[in-house]
Amino acid sequence: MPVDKDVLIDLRDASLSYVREHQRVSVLENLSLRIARAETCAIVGKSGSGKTTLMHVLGLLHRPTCGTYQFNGLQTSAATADELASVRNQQIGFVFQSFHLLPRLSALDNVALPLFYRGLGQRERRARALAHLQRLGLSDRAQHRPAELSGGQCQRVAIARALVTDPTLILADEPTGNLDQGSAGDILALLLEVSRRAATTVVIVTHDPLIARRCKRQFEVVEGRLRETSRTVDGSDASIQ
Amino acid sequence: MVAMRAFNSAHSASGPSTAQHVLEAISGLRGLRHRALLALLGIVMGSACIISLINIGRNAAQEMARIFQSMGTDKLVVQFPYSPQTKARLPGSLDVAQVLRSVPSVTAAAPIAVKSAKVFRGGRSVDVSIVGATASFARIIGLSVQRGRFISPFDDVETFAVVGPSVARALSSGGSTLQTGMTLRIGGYFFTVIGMTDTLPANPMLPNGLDDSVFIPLNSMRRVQPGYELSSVIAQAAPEMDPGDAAKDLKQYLSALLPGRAVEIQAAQQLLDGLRRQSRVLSYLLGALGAISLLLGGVGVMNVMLMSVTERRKEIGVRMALGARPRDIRTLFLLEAICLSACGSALGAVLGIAFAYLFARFCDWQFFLALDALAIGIGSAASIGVFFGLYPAIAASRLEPVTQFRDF
Repeated sequence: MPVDKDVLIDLRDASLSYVREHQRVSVLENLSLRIARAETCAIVGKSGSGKTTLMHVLGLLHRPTCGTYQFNGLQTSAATADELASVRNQQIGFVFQSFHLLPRLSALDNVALPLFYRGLGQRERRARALAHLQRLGLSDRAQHRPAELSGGQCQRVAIARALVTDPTLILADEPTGNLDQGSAGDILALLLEVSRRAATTVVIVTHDPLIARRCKRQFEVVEGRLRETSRTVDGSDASIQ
Repeated sequence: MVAMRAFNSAHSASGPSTAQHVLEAISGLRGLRHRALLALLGIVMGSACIISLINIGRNAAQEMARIFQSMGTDKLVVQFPYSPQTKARLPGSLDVAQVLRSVPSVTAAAPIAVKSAKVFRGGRSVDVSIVGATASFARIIGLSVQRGRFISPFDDVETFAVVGPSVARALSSGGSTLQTGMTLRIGGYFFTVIGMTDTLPANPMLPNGLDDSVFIPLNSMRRVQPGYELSSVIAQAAPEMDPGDAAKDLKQYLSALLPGRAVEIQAAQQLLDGLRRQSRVLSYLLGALGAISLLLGGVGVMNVMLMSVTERRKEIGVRMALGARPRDIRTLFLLEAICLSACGSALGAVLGIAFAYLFARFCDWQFFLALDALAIGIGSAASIGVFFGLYPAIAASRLEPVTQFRDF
C-alpha cells in the first residue's frame, strides 16, 4: 500500500465499542476517512451520534477497537503510549468543547502547558505563550485565571493553547459553541487563516451549518456511521453525495 | 515513519527537566490547600515524635552514663537487707586489710555507717545524714574536698567532721560562714569541722545525697549512736577484673564472715547495663509510637493524593491530551507526595528538636542533638511519603486519556 505523502489522516474500517453492564455498546461503526494536509473539515451530527468520540480517535486519545488508523505515516495501533503522547504534543492541537483549562493556572501558563511537555524552559514557554495570547487579543488577560475570564475569552485561551505548538492538525470540538455570532465568525476566520498560512489541517466538530459550510469538506455522523455530505473544489460547491 | 521516530526520541530526550517537574508539583500542591495541610500535619506529628522521642531517649541514656562515669564503673556497693529471717546484728566495722587479702579481685573497700541526725551550730540546726566513713571512702567514690581535708586513716575516734556543701550553706548565716576549725554539735558531742566537700552529682547507687551529709570517722559513730551497725560497704574491683566476678567473690566472703545476714552487692557496671537496656527499650517504645503516627501520616498522604487524583481526572486527561506521557503524570503526582512529606518532615524535625530541647532543659539534662535521630526522623517521614505517594501516582498514570472526558 503506497503511502501518500499528502494524506495526514488515514482511518480505515475503524469501529469503536465498549462493554457496559455485559452489553456491547457500539459508538463508531466501520468508519473510513482520509484527510489530506491543509484541508479544513467539518463534522456535523446530533449529540450522541459519536462525533466527539471520532474526534478523540483522530486525536489519538482513543484507539479504535478494530480497523487501522495511520496518522502522518505512523501506524497508531503499533505505537506505545509514550509515542502517542509525543505525537499529540508535537503535532496535534486540541480545542475542547468545555475548554478544559486548568483552573489553578493563569491564562499564560495554560497556554504554555503543552510546551512544558516538550521540555522547554519556563522563560521560553511563557514568551511563546504570550505571543499567541497577543495574537488572539488577550495579552492584557495573561495573568488572569480561567474563572476570571468570560466564556469567549476562555475559548480564545483554549485556541491559543492549541496553536502554541504549531501543530499539523487542529481538532476543535464546538469551538464556537459558547460564542455569539460575531466572535464565532472571528474564531473560525482565525482557524481557517492558520490552516491556509501554515498548511495546518483543521477538523471542526460543530452543529452549526453556517460554520460547516465554510470548511472545504463536510461530514455527517449518524449513529456511528460517517458520510461525506459536501466537498468544495476550488471555491465552488460540488456535492458528491 | 523515520521522521516520526526521530521526532519521538527528540521528545523523550528533551522532556521536562526535574526542576520543571518540581515546580509543577508545588503549584499542584497549592491547589490542594487545606487537605494537603491535614496530611502535612500527620507527617509533621510523626517525624516530630520520632525525632524528639529518640533524641530524648539518647539524652537520657547519656545523662545516666554521665552520672555513673563520674564515679566509675568498677564500683561495688554491698548492702545488708534486714528481714525477720536474717536479723543477726552487724558489726560496727570491717577489717578492710583482711577483706582485701582474702578477696584479691577487690582492691579497695570502705565500710560506712549512716544515721539521720540533727546538727547544731550557734542558733541554727539542720537535719543531715551522718556518715561514718574511713579515708578510702572519698577516694573510692571520687569525692573531693574544696576546703580543708577529708577524714584520714589517723583520725580513728577523733571528733572531726567534714560537711557537705548543702550543710555548709545551711549552717552559714549572714556574717558568719562556716569555716574549718569551727565546732558543730551532733547529739551530746562537739565536732570540729576539718573540711568541706565538693558537690557530687546524685548517684543512684548511693542512698542519700552526699551534699546533705556530714562525714565523721567511722569509729566516732559510737558517739552519735551507741551500738551502731554497718550500713554498707563501698568497694572497688581490681582493674583487670570483671566487676561482676569481683562482686561474686566479695559476696561469698562476706556471707561467710557475717552468718545470719543476707549480703547483696550491686556492681555499677551491672546497674549501668540495666539502665542502658531500659533506655533502649524506652527508645524503641517511643520510636514505635512515632512510627505509628508516621504511618497514619502516610495513610493521610495516600488519602489526599488519591482524592486529588480522582478530583483531577479531568486535569490528567487534559495534560495527557496536551502530550504528557504516563511517566510525566506519575512524576507529577509522586513529586507532589514527596514535596508534601518533605515539608512535613522538615517542620516535624524543627518541632521535634524544639520539644527534645525543652524536655532536656526541664529535666536539667545536658542537651545534645542526636544526629541519627534526625536522620531517622526525616528519612522515614520522607520515604513514607514516597511509599504512600507511589500508588496514587501510578494509578493516575494508568488512566486512559479519554475516559477523563466522559463526564462532560
